Amino acid sequence: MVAEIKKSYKLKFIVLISAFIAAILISVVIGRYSLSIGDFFRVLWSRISPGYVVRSWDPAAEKVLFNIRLPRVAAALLIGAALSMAGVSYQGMFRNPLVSSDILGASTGAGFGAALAILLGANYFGISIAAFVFGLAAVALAYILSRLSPTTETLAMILSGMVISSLFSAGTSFIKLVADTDDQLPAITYWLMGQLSSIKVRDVKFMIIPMLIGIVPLVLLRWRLNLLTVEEETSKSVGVNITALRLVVVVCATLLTAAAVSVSGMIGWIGLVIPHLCRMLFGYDYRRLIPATALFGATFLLVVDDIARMATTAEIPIGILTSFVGAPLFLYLLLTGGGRKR
Amino acid sequence: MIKVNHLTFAYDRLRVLDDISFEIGQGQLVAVLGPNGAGKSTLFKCMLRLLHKYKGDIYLDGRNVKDLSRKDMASMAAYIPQSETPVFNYTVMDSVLMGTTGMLSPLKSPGPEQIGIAQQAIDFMDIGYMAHRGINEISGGERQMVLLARAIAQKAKILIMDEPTANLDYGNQHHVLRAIQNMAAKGFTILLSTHNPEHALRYATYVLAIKDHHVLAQGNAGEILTEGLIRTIYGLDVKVLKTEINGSEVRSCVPADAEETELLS
Repeated sequence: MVAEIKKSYKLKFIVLISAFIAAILISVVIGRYSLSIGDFFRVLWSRISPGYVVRSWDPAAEKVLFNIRLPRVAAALLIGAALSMAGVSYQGMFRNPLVSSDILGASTGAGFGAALAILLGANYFGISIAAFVFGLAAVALAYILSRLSPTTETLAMILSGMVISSLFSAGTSFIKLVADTDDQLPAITYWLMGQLSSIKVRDVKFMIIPMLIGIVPLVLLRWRLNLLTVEEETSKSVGVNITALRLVVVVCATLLTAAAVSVSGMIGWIGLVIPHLCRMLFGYDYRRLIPATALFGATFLLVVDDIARMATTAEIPIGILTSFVGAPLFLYLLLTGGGRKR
Repeated sequence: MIKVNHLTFAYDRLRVLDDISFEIGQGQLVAVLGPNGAGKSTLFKCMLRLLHKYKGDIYLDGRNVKDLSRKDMASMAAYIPQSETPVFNYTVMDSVLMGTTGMLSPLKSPGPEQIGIAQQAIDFMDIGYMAHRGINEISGGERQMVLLARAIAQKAKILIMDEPTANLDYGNQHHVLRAIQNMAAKGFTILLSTHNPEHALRYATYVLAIKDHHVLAQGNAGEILTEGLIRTIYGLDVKVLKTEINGSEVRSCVPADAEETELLS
């Protein structure tokens, strides 16, 4: 029976990894400028070992691939994985399957930062940096506030996260109110909706370091994350320094969320829905859940982004699409109980 | 094995434990009796260093609790809560495996050695038949067995249990307490709180009675747990009855207060 269960998880991982690879290959070739899969590999190979490949392709193909399509695919993968991992970590830490990656205010903080930067006339890169910094600052504020409170640690965090979130979203509304309606307001609104259409290579470079700093500890600590989900007295008496572990999770999840949001704008639902889907498929053990949510989230956002850029001639902001796809899925989970069995 | 000297604890100004002292040897099964709010849970939390702003000293196996790291603490004493309602439906095996976390360095996941330890604990508790079921899919009594198995997997020799049978039905109370008695016989030192003096009469080797935040009485269960002491603890007249089960004398108690008999007659 044990062998059977293990085998079924193994099979599911094989399917998931195959889907992940297939989604990448499809996403690279489809688009307004479509490439053949053969050309894709030839172009790639020519970069790795120049001179061996005969240049038979359109030079424009190479430009599209390296300047537009690959960065965008990489961004979708990274952001999908980051938001899902942050979500699954927070759900364990708050012992609540209904919290998501922005529970402590990372997204609203980033939104405020971006709006402020747009209001002050910052350039594209300045907006990303402001969003990232304010995302981190919002969570830091919420965390410090929670430590000052005599209430239970997790309850205090949720409450102070709520307070900080509402403060920053009020701030964003105020900026929208005073922003120039011809130019700035549409930019803010569009940014808040979330999109991947303007991703450049430098965006990927910008977010990859904070993301790696966030991903690596979570992957290494994946067993200990299980101990966050049981009663605090239990995990302490089992020998876990729970306060330190929580701090690591908050820092990692915040880096992931803030880095993702600062590049893409607000993309909802992923941090909430992907962890649930993965629990249904892979069970509750974080040793499987962490790699599963990362792969599933990456694949999900990539596919949704493909729909976003292929479905209509004018791109649909991906933040809207994830909700369209995510909301019914989540509703289904809510109505059926969301458990793996029963 | 366990030594507590002049332990005093207060939440803000509210005194919960007042000058508690006792000493317990290895292999004892200690029943901690006392009315609600007497300070039993607080005593346990201090002993497990879940609360640390206490006065006095607590020694486990000769070492002062204040000097122990979480990890060392976990290797010496395990905690079994009244019940655990898990948010996520882990398998029984994974739940037991969690007990081994203290022996792992932070970045490690359990390996074959830990899985072996968990398997032994599961075999010891005889719960192998449900090892791969979800923790939310088994009964309360079974779940309590899982918590005991997790404590065994922790490899600690002292087990501290806060009302381990409070949420169990009559039959399961007996099964769980029998299992606990069996563990004491195998060398574990066990401290458990209970609201039922019968549990103390039937299973415990030593009794620690706490009332109004200090030790009311302590000693061998057979000697000190008299009708008088039970009356003092709970403010209720009882009769202690003796009967014979499988050739050995077993004591139990029933409430015997006067007013109730008058109402009935």
